[in-house]
Amino acid sequence: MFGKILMGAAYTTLIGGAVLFHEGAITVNVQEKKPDGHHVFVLAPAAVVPWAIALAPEEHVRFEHIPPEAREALPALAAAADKLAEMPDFVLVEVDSPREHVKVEKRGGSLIVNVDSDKEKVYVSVPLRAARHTLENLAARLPQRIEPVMATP
Amino acid sequence: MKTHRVLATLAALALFAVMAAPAAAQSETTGKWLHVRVVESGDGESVRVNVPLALAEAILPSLKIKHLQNGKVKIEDHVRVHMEDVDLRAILDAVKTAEDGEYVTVESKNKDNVRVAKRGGYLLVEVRDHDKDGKQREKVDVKVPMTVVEALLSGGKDELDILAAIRALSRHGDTELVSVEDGKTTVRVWIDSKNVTE
Repeated sequence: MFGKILMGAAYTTLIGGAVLFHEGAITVNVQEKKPDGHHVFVLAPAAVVPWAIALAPEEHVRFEHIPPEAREALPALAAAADKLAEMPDFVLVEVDSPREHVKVEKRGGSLIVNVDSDKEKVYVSVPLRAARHTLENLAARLPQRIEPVMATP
Repeated sequence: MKTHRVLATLAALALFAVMAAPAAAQSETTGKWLHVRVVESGDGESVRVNVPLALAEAILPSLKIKHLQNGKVKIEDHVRVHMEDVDLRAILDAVKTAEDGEYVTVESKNKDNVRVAKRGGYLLVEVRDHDKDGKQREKVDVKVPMTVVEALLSGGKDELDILAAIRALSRHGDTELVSVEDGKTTVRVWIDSKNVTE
């Protein structure tokens, strides 16, 4: 009896984990380069974010804090994430200087940002499929009170 | 009973592996890439940018920001392309239908000059900037395929069709588009079929 319960719990965990992580994981790793520097590490299932945006009560989602230009670009950013996911791996931007090294690349199904500077090391990885769903959900939830983009003469 | 448990466990593990695996690329993109390379000799900084033209093609129709709508830019009132009081758009309209040759030459007292020419299917813009002692300060070379220029002007009277220009560029062969040198900084912009820069 106990074995069956345990087996059921294990199957549920496996399948639940597969569902949660089927779009990959968002990873954020920040390490300050000083004695006792802060270290932040976040690993979250990417599938959660679009659901969080879709289900969050409107009073907790501060749409007015999103600049108008960013709101207008949301559909294009979603299209970009979609297209990037289809492409082979490549380096999008690389900046090399004596003070820092920055690399933004598409690797696997994720967009990865790597920064190594005098002050800190930053690593961010965002699965592109989840990014697309998030941007689409955000664009869909934007209120319709946005002012017209171009005034006709 | 034991066999069923093992099979069920294996099935769950297989399902987990498939769903947790990163999304693989659905198709190989073998189109053109736009590359930008900036090197600053002073502080040793370099920048490399690689953009697949297919990505620009996918984004532009969705981009609706101020003067850029559906891949087209309005040039009246908002974006004016002038070089030393010369209306570049009017020049491009004329060059489009003319034969190969040098069409505009502007020279100043300190040997600054701007040349616009059409040669071998390309629109060439050459700028040389000198200091008061006649020493060259800046050198700019722009080489744009005429097919791209025609695509750029294929939109309405007061707009530039950026999307059509990018499509024309992706059909063109490998070519260097822009080269800028000013003693401290070198900028190169070019297109080819590789997804890396040197």
